[in-house]
Amino acid sequence: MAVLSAASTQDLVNLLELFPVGTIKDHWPKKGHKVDVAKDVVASEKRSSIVEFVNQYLSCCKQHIYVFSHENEIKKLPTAGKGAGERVVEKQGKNEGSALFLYWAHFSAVLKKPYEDAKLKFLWPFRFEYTKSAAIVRLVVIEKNLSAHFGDREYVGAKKETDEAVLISSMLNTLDSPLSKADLHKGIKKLWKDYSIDCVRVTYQDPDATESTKMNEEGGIREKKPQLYEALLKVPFLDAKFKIKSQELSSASAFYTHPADGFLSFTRYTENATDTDNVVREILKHNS
Amino acid sequence: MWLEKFLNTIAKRFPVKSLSAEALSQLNPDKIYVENVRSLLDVSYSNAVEILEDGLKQGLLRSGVEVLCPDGYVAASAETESGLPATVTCPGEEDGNPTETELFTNTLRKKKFYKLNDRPTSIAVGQGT
Repeated sequence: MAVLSAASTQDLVNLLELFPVGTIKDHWPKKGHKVDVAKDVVASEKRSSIVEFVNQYLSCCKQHIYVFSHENEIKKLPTAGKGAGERVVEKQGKNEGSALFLYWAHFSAVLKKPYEDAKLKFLWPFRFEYTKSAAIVRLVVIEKNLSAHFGDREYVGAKKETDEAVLISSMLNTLDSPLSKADLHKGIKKLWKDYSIDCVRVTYQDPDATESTKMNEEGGIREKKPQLYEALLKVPFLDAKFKIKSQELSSASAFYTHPADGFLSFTRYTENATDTDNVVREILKHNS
Repeated sequence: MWLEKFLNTIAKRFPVKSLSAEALSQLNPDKIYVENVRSLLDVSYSNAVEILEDGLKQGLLRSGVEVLCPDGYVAASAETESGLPATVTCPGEEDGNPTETELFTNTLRKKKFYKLNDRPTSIAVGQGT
């Protein structure tokens, strides 16, 4: 399905607005607020250049990352699947490759005064990468702050209609072999033992209960509750948030994870694409 | 202790640190998650699964499945997924007030666990002592 060629200039402006303004300005030296810079870029640059930028700097965005494991079973890149998407960039080597996909993310809301239904859609970039043992799907988080798109009109009930899990599943179904979610406990706990990260909140399972700890003022569990830290090294987490202590690892501040589901999330922009890439790479390096 | 025998027998397959009695005593024989064994033996997730599945085949362990509410609360467990109830009650909160919602089990997350087999008749044929 042709997504890129069907996208309007406003769609491309919205796409660029998913990125940190500093990153856009570093790549194309322009001045002004993010929306003005984005409009300027869309007016002056080819779509192929914009897509290359998206592919290069996607890791700077707020992201959801899904990690899968395989045993050298991936021999080709997936297609977009049944979702309304298009593979716009691809790069493939002997046992590795990556591809950028653009999908449409559909939103609905109810405008007030007078009440009426409203629908919006946004370009939604996903990137698929694979090596001999892992496959990673990254997608940019599109937030439901739609006010800029409705002018002065108030709205309620904003909802994202497009489900990322459905799109990912549809994409991965185009591969020859099914992939399984990578359990990330080992890699994450190794970084924790190395003290590159510390846990600030966690939901975990002991045999008789599901327990939660939320550290005050984002204090670290290893720093302030060493006995709990030792106990947590041995139990499964349902979800956790880790702050990043080592600038050498990353200048990102923190990440969220559901380790048993191979899920990581960065909820803030980062200065460099390597900030989130490094965290993912180090987790996987120590995960097998 | 069957659990100690199981872990020591299987762990010989992997180059790991020796297991202390204290470390083993930290495992709850009635509910063992993959991560408990993975972290105790410091092996990969897939190796830990292999170890536990071997224990199942040898009759040293039994498995079970639990169903989790969206907040992680374990609402029910059974020996197999078909043994779980069709619906479970999940606690929640609305406007600061506690609520209870009945949810279909097939829409909720399941998690496998293992436990020590305390039924001697389940021992697999050919198991050594």
